[in-house]
Amino acid sequence: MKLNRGLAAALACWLWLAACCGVVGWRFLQGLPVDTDIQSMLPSGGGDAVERAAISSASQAAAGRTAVLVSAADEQTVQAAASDLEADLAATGIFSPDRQDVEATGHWLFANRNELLCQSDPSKFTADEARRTARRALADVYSVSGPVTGDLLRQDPFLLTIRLAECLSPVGAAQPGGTTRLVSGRIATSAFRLDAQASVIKAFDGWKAEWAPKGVTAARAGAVFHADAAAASATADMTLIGTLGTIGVVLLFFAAYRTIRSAVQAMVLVAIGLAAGLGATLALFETVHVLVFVFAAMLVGIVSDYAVHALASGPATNWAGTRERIDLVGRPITVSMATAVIGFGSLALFGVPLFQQVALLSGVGIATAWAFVLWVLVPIDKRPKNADFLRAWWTKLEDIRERVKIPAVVAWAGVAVLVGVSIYGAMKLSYLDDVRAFQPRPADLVAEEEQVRSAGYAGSGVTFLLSVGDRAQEARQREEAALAQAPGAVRLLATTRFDPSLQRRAANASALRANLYQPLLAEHAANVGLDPVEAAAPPVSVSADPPSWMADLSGEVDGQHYLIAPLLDPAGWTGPTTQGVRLVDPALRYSDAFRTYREHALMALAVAAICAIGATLLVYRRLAALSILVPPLLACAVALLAPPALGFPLTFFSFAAALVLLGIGIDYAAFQWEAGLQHDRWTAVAVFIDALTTLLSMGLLILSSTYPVRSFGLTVTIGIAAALCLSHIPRLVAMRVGTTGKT
Amino acid sequence: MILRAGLIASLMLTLAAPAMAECARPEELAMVRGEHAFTQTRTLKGVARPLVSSGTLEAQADGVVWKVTKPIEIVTRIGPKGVTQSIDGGPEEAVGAAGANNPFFSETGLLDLLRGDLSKLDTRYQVARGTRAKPEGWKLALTPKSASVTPYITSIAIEGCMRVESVAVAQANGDMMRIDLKPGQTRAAQ
Repeated sequence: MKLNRGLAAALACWLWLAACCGVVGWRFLQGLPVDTDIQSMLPSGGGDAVERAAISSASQAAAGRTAVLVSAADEQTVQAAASDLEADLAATGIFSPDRQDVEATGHWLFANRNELLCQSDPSKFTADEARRTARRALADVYSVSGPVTGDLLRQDPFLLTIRLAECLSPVGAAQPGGTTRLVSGRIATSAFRLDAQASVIKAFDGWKAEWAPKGVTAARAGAVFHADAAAASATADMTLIGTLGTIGVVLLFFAAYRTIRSAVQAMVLVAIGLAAGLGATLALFETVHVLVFVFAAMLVGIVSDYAVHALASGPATNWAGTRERIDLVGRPITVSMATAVIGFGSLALFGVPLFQQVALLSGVGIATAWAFVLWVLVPIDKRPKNADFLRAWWTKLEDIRERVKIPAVVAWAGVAVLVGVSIYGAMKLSYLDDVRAFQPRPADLVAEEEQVRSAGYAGSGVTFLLSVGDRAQEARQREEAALAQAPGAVRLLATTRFDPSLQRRAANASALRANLYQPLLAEHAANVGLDPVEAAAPPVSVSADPPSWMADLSGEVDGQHYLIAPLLDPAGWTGPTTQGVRLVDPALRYSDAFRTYREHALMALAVAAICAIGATLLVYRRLAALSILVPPLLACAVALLAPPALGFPLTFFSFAAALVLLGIGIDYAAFQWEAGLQHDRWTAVAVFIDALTTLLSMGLLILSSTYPVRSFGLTVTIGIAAALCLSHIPRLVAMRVGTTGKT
Repeated sequence: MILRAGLIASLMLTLAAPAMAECARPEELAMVRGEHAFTQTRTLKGVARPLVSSGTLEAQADGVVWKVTKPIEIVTRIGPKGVTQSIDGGPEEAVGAAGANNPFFSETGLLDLLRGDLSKLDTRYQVARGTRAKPEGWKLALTPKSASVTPYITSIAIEGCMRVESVAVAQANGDMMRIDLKPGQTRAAQ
């Protein structure tokens, strides 16, 4: 019966793994489901829903803007190279050139020309302005440079369409002349998706390979290039950390167990945990952030801990029966799993997609690995042929470990150093919440972007004017009122300049009639060869669809209508005083969010600690067992205070690391508690191997080029070292409890 | 805009003077600086009467100044940095998107022509050469090669003998522009 239960559990493990692998395979077949957007670190719930949606829309629109400034020695080469690049980018299927937007915008302006004005206030379209407009139209007709056609002149005698296109100029940019050309457009999908980046970068690199030998150079601007650089950096981090961690763990396992098989078993266990975690995450999330994979490296440390203890129970018990070995390691592994899952689970409470993914991937990964250790790994880890040799080696390790006695003076000196560093850190406490400093932008891309901007490319502003109203018309009216307050130097892309409120449309039309059409049309028609009677007839109504870029700048959330107007040049404007309108700087909002998370992280740590207290009391049912929590809590304190002492400001990620540290620290302490009760020697060796594997995985995050990941690694490294040293406290308490119990 | 581009490119030939006393080969025209009188006639589809303007065209070292004196005063300066325009003696203002969003720099070889380099004419246009009977002279029929120009300009016809005497641009939408040039004060480029 027992055998059947074990087999059934093992079968369930494999079926679960197969299902997870199926999800992973299915999702990857549909396209690389990985995104690199730093906004995934932002909360997905709570706060101002309208502002959140607006930030998302504005960021999406801004991130999609892409431009390349092409330069060559002569005009023909540069023209050919630019045309080729535009064709190559368009061939990706996700890039639409600004030329298309310009055409659609032109149709829209023509259809709405008699209800739009260059002036943001209709009262500023005076009789003098109207006369100037008429003279400009006359000049266009008679000058060599006037872009006039007969069709346009008959339907738009004052050439208002041309004037509006000049003054509103919403999309695209000034086309530099001479030997430079600007290829600009929008990426339809998220620029932060790896597959989108891959296709755009592939097209660009292919074009560059063809044209660079001909002396053509290119300067890039756009989030897609930055995101690609960030993804490359994260991939390099992942490769470095993953490779070093894997090699280190394999060597460590071989050194400890003297078999390649144990190392392979540990690595397979890690792979199983990752596959299960990834499958569960991809089942619930459309994409997984690339940083999740970096954080997932920590699974190597935790999951291999379980393998360490399970495999160590072999030589330690001379490969006793499965039940006996599970009795030995089952309880501490289960406590460790439960506290680790609680620790990771608490990350999900922040409502940040990235951390929800980390929590899910890690939680499911750890739980799956735990199940495989108990129901698959231990049952298949039978007594090997060279068992005597392996047991002798393990005993030797226990002897070596036992011979290591730390003199009291050294221990107290260590404590003094930790206390001193902590006090100094507490005095030097500093924080980094500014997301702009999290991931420094590559200098070459920043320089190229400046080059593109110098050539006249407007790009798209990140900061925007947000106008909110109960009705779409109200939002429009509010944006119009706010724009009237903006200083002249401010440049922004506002929907209402192209599609005003009904009230403003009527006012514009009235100003055009009163100052332009009624007093000047007859004379002007005669001047440009039009039949005055025909010209005076009401214009033929023409309909046009709004350009697609306009749709990106408006939305509705919970019955609230909003408009976004990206600031291309804020010119120091601090925003309007209009009700329902405000300037929004997403970077500032993100930084505020991270500051709030950080401030609440201590509370989350406290909650996790309380949960751990409950779990510990539930499992061990004695107060003395709470000594298990002393090492992890002290380790968390040291790990959070030491980085500022070393000059590294704390981030929210430091606190996230502390949450994870709590789980791992309990793992070490729980095993030491069990060892103290049973007076065994093998646990001390196993915990030491645990700590080394954790440092080889999570600790190596300290090598990351991204500060949040680095700060995570730093906190874990310091904390693991402290947790290892302090884990002897519960062992000593347990030994005393055991002795008292016997007497 | 494209119309303007083709037209300007063609008109650059007017800045050339014959190298010989009789009708010169167009390719052998050397660049000159100075002033030429012009009459521009625009025939727009659906507009009852032709729109006629007149003025002077002045070639300078780094560009062209196109002055319309009738029926409105317009001064258009075309240079390597873009196009500016002054109306009725008012301030000079950039034309279009800072005057730089202008394909005639990119697609017609204006700056080459300004430098007196006519050798690239046939890289941008299919050039058909012919003769004019009365008065005796030559004709060039230019067809744009670039796919980005052909939707706007169908053909350009240039006539002359000792100099370019007229340029006619046929637009794809049926509009026409003809410019007749008369000699003014010219001087050969150094």
